[in-house]
Amino acid sequence: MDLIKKAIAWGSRKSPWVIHFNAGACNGCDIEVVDALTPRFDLERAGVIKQGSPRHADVLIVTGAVTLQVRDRLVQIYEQMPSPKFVIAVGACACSGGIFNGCYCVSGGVNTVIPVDAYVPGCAVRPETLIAAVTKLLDKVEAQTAAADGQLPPGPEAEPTPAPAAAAITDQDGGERHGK
Amino acid sequence: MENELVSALITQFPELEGKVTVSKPMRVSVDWLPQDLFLKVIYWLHDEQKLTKGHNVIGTDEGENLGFIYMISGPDQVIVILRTTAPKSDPRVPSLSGLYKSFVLFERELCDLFGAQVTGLPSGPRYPLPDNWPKEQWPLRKEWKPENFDRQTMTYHEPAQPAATTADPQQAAVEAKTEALLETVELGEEAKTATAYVNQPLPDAAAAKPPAPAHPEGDNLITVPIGPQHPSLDEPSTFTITLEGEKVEGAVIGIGYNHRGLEKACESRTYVQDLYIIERVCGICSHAHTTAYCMCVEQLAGVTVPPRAEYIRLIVGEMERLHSHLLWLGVAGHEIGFDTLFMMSWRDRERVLDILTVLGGNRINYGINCLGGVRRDIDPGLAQDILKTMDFLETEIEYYLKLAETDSTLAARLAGVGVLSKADCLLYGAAGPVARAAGIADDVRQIEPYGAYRDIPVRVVTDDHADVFGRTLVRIKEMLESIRLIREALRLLPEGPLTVRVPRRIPAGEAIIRVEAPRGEDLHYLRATGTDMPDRVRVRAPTECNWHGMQHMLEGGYLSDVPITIAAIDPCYSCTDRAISLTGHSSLSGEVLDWKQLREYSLQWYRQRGVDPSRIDVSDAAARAD
Ligand code: SF4
Repeated sequence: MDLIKKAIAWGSRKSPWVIHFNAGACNGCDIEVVDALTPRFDLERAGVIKQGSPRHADVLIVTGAVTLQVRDRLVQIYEQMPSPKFVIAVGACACSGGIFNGCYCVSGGVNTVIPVDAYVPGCAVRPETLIAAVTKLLDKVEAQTAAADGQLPPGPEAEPTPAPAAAAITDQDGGERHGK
Repeated sequence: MENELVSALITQFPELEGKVTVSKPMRVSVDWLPQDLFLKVIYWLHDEQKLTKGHNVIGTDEGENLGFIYMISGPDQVIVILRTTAPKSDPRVPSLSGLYKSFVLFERELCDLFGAQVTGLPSGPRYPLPDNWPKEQWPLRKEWKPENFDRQTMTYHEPAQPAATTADPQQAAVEAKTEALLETVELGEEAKTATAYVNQPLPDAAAAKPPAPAHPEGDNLITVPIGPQHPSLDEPSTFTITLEGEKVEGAVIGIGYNHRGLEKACESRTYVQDLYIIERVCGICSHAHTTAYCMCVEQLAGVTVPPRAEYIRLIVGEMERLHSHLLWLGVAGHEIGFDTLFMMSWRDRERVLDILTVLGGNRINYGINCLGGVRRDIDPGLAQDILKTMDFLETEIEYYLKLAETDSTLAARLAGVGVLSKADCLLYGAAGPVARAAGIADDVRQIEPYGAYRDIPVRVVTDDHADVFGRTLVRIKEMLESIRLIREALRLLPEGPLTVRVPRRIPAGEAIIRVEAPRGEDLHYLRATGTDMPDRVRVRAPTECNWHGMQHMLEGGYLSDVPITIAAIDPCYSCTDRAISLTGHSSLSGEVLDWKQLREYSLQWYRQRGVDPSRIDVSDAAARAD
């Protein structure tokens, strides 16, 4: 069944489907994410399609400092995605909490909750930066695929970004859910 | 107008003599009143003086007491500010949501953030704190310090007290135990109703088990949970929609996902630092928020902004309206499956962002405002560019207007959808384009002109369709008006400096400023105590007003119209993207299956039907990857 594996790898490389989740952003980065898909920037050139459901998505784009209210929901969405899956933290907030770091209802950057594959700085990010990030991520996927020689492209499971000690996901295999 | 109201108040309530002042034009401020007198006054103002619009309720921490500041206005648009208090030991205050429907959310905030017990508040999902927020923690009370709150375990640790010399540790332990015991003692009946909503199920779980009274017949009704994940251009929110067939029978709206705790953060930062936080309340109306905030600080500091700065604020403000409305038009197009419109209007929007980038250096959060003026100047070259862009946009927007007025598909999809009549708009306190589309000429730029709007009057756009179609027309026509304002401002742009000096410490006092953001009235409250940090900052964004009428707009409509109805108040919401919660087969627990469980469920499903999927190699590989 090498062929199927190859097809999956080829598919994630050539046409990553993304979903976008606002985890407590100011909207600045959210509109820039959508902007990247509109005619001036047209991220669809890279095969990127914005998807509605986490069940169909390869890449999760998270904007905003993670508020305590969405923290569990973010984990749920991440877990609903099929492997291999990738997470891009978009904006200063998503990278580190940004200007909202230390607010009482903010958990901090996205990496305090789920593993992150790419960080895109900026407040707000420019669509060009986002495009650069997506293409870099795709190159990384390709390199990993090539290295694994026809194996499934390893997701975050294979090379997890070290999450802080108290990360919400205890189990990198996505099995155990952060308790309510 | 203000003085008539003051004398009427004093004639009716002689005990108010000396307590009512006109703090500035259009503001009548009443001093702190005991609750019984306060109630008499507010009921009289509502019933006799027809002050039926509720703007805001602000909680404050007054040391021993909690303060409650109410803002209401009537047909002459003068904002009356009423205050009352309740001791922290017995923080009860009656709910006024029966009088002012728009107060529900504000009063919930009082409960969550200040620990007030608002008696008679209708139950509903809690707001704005997270569902698992610990009890008895009220973050906006002054003694509550964010650094003592552990966000991982959701517990608050009192800072270690410096050991009191006389304290007997055993005695302290006994006291702590007694206190813990006392805490478990049943609350009184009234207190229970006031805090009852805290025990409401999670919004997600509420989706599976909607509130019972909403649908007595039960069986024919389907509940569709939407959110919180969607390509949110605004806050993530949940909508629990109860359907009979295609028809929306009931809607429960859960918001608060975006609550970050900015107001608390502002209290521990200086006025200059706060400007950057306020800018990031919302990335789309960032200029409107900073304008209101700067005006508050400038009013308290007693400085006058140079005219050139006022004009530049107007120009940027109108450009913000242009890009926000173009954004909305695109989203509205997307919601009704008209993606061409989406792409076209977002393409045009880029032209506005280009100008803002040249001016401020950033596409979003361009930071033009600073305390006492603006940061960047518009030079003649840029002015030429702006005029050229306006010419381009004018032709495009006129085309959109023609499209909206003549295209039969648009009319069919938008007309009669999400109706909120004029009376309902007034009842729910709707603001901005929603109110204007119902024929209410409610535009702060005209009611209470600020800055350069005093020199360049605004022609308020209204419409009487009172539905999504009307809101579309209003927004498109407003863009044409914005173009006119920008041209006019560039023509009249006065020479002179850009900023004046604002002192670091702001004299004690309070300011209430409203400005017209793209989505409606944006109301800021700022209280200074003479230090370099504000004592209380309250931002009431326009969307907060428009949420109240939403439930009403949705009910009776069709499911397929839900996205556009929600989008029409411009929280920019799309239902094409939503978290699907697959509930477990056996129970309606509202549990969301993760990927692994879902796979097991599907494998089982196939096995029962005689297919053994485990023999297919790919699932093995996927299992390994899992
Ligand atoms: S990084 Fe800046 S623009 Fe982006 S969501 Fe955060 S505050 Fe808003």
